[in-house]
Amino acid sequence: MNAIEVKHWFRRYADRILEKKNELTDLDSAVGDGDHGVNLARGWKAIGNEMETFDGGVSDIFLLVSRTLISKVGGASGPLYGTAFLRMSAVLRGKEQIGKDDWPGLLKAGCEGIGQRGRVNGGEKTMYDVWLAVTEAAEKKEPEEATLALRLLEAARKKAEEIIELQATKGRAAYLGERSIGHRDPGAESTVLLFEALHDTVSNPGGRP
Amino acid sequence: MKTGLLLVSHSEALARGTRELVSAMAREVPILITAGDGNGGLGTRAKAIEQAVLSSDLENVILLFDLGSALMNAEMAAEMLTAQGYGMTVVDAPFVEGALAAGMALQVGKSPSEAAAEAEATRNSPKKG
Repeated sequence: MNAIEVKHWFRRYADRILEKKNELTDLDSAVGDGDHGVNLARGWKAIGNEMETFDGGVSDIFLLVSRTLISKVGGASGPLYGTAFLRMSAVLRGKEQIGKDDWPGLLKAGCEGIGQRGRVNGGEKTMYDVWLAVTEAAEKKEPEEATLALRLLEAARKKAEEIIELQATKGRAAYLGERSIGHRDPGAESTVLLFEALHDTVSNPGGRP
Repeated sequence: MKTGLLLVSHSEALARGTRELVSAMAREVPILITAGDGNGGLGTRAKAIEQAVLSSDLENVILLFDLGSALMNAEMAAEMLTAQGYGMTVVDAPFVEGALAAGMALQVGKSPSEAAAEAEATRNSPKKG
């Protein structure tokens, strides 16, 4: 995946976040403070615009995303996603593109960043659960990037469904105790969208979102 | 090295009110606040926390925060500020009691690390004794 495709990926994701802004906010209103959709939309709208003109390499794109998320998003998702993209940017330093063999290390770095920033280990019903599932899914070698992207997306969707039945023990939803069971986690859902956008991009190479 | 407090809250009213309480006793201690999402709503932002310190004359900052996502933004800002040479201590303490304890420790001339320790110790001081 070269820099142009990475920019397509993030433009598509920005579009998905803007489309789903109200849905994410509704999910967050049920278990949190109701700012997830609005906060992410503010950041990703800016990123979508930056992607139109930015001509840096893959690592610099991830770094720009991180900086924009940290400066514009705030809340929990700003530092969590901001840290993930920062760590992924570091993994890509000096690379021309994201090669097929780069995905496991790239996703692992993002996942670990979220785990450290959010002080989670898995099972707390947060976006980290989905990142961990995607990271594990990336470990199996795959010759085709499109097949890999589909596997990542399926792993993300499956985990986001599984954790609906968990009780949240981290973040604002933890204050609901048992009443958090049965709700979708907003961060898990916005993470699924990231991998939907990746799958769309890899399935339509070169296509403008 | 000039030392002060930074109160990071989701709510500007909460941050201002806490500063008012602390300043009533710790009269000479500088207290910065960062609160809200920047659009009049509730929230915390790493960039705003960083800006508050950069635009102050403090070199050592004891940072208190209200809820979990404030901690993440606080730590992110503290990392950025530490890289720029500031002394940052993020204190895990009850917001109001911790701010008062840290403020009073600085007021009576204790070191930043002693002030941070006193703030954190408030977690184990039940108000019902």
